[in-house]
Amino acid sequence: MSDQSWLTEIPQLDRHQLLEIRKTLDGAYRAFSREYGDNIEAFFDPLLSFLIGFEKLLLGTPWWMVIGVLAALAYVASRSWKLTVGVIVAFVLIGVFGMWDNTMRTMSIILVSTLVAIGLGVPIGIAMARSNRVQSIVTPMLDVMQTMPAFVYLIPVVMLLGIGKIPGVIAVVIYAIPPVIRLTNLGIRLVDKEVLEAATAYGASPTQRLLGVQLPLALPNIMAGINQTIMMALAMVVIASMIGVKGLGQPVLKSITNQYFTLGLLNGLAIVALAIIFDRVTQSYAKRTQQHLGGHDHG
Amino acid sequence: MKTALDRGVKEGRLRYAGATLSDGGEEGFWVPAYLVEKDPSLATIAGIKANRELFEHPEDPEKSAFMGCPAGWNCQITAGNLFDAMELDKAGFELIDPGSGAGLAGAIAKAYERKEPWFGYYWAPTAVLGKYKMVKVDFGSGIDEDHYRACITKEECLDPKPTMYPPSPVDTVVTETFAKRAPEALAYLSSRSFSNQQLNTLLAWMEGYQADGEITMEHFLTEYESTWTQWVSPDVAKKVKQALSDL
Repeated sequence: MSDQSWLTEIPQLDRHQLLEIRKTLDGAYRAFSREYGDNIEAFFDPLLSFLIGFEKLLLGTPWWMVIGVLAALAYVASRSWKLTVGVIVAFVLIGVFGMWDNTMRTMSIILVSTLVAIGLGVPIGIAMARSNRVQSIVTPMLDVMQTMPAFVYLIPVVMLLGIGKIPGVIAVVIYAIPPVIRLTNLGIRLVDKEVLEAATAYGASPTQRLLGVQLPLALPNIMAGINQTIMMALAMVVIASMIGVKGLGQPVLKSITNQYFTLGLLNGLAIVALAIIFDRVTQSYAKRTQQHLGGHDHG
Repeated sequence: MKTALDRGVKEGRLRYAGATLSDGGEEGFWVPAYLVEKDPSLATIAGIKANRELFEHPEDPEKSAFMGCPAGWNCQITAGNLFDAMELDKAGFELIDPGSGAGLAGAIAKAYERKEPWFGYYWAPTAVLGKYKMVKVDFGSGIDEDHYRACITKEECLDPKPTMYPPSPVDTVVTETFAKRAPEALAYLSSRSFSNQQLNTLLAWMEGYQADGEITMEHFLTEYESTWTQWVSPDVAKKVKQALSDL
C-alpha cells in the first residue's frame, strides 16, 4: 500500500481479515444451528399445528359461509352497511378471479401473525412506557427490525427452521411488530399526567390505572399502531412467499419472474383488498369504542 | 434464444466458438450422499418410493416431501411433469415450492448440516452441489431427448413419461468480427471448457471464501495450472505465469 492510497481511499481491513471475521461468524451460526436447531423447531411445533389447522379450516369451509362470517364480523364491528357490502363484493370478486384458495391461505397466516404481533407488541409497548431505560434498549432494536433488509434475517431463519410457515410468521412478525410497540409506548406516555394523578387520588392501583385510564386513553394511538402493523404484515406477503409460504405472494413472485403483468396486478389488488378490509373493520370498532369518550367531553 | 442465435450464425454475424461446459448444464433430482452410503437403493427412484417415510414433509405428517423449483422458473414445469410421470403423488409425495432460489439452497444447506434426508431438484454447475456431495437419482429410463423437448418442457404436456434430463448445451458465442480480428483469442475460447465437477468445486471454493470473480480467477490460475495450460499456447502460458508471479 503506497502512502498515497489512504489520502484517496479510506483504509479498510485487509481482505483476509474481513474473510476471517465472516467465516468465524458464519461457522458459529452453523454450529448454533446444528446444536439447537431441532429444539427450536420443536418449540414452534404447537404454533405450526395451529397454523396448519387454521388454514385447513379456512380452505375447507364453503365460500358462502366464509363470506357470511366475515360480513357478520364486519357489521358487528362497524355497524356500517357500506362496509359490510364492500366486504361481500370484494370477496366475491376475489373468488370469481380464481384467487380464493390463495387468499384464504394468506388470510390465515396474516391473521395469526398480526395476532402474535399485537399480543407481543402491546405488552412490550406498555413496558417501554413505564421505564425510560427499557425504551432506550428497545428503540434501537425496533430500528433494526424495521430497516434491516428482510433477506438478511430470513436466510439464517431458513437455515435454522427450514422453509415454510414458521419462518414466514417470524419474518412477518419481525417486520410488522415495531409500529404497534412504538405507538403503544407513545400513546401511554401522552396520557395527561393530571388524569393519572386524579386516578391515583381516587385510590386506583397501578393495574387499575393501566387498564382503566392509560389504555383506554391511549387507544387512538394504539389503534393507529395496529393499523400500521396490519398494513406492514400484508406488505410482507411477497417476501414470505420467497421462502415457500403459500398464498397470494407466490403468483406475484411468478409474475415478477415471468413478466405476467395482469397476474401480478390481480393478486396485488387482492392483497390491497385484504389490507383495506382488515383496517376499516378494526378502525370502525375502535371509533365506536371511543364514541362514549367523545360524549363525555361534550357533557 | 437458440433460434435467434442460429439465425445470427446463418447470417454470418455470430459464430459458436466451443462448449464452455464440456458436460453441458446438468439437471436432475438429487439425494444427499450420506443417505446413499447407508442405503444404496436410494439412488434409484424405486428405492426412494419404497423409503418415503425418510423424506418427512415439514407440515403434513402423512405426506413425503419432494422439493421442486420456485414459481416462474422453467424447471418448475419440467420437475412437475417428471413428478407426474413417475407417479410420485400416488407414492405419497407432495411437490413443494421453495419460493426462491435462495430458499431452495437454504433448504438443502439446512438438511445437509443436520444430516437429514432431502429429495428434490437441483442443477449443476453450482456452488451448492460443489459444497454438498449429492447423488443424482436414476429414474431407470435413460435419456429420451425427443420426449423431453416435445413434452416435458411444456406446461400442457398431457402424458409425461419418465426420462433423465438431457445435458443442456452451454456454448461460447462470439461475433464474426471478433473471430476475424483475434484468431488467437478465438483459439483459446474454442478450447476452454470446464467439466461440471471442476466448476462445482470452484464455485464452492468461491462461496466458501466469499470471493468475487477476480479473486477466484487468481486462485484458478494458480492452483489449476494443468487445466488451463491446455487451452493456450506455451508462450501465452509463460506470459500468464509471469503475470501471476508479479501479483
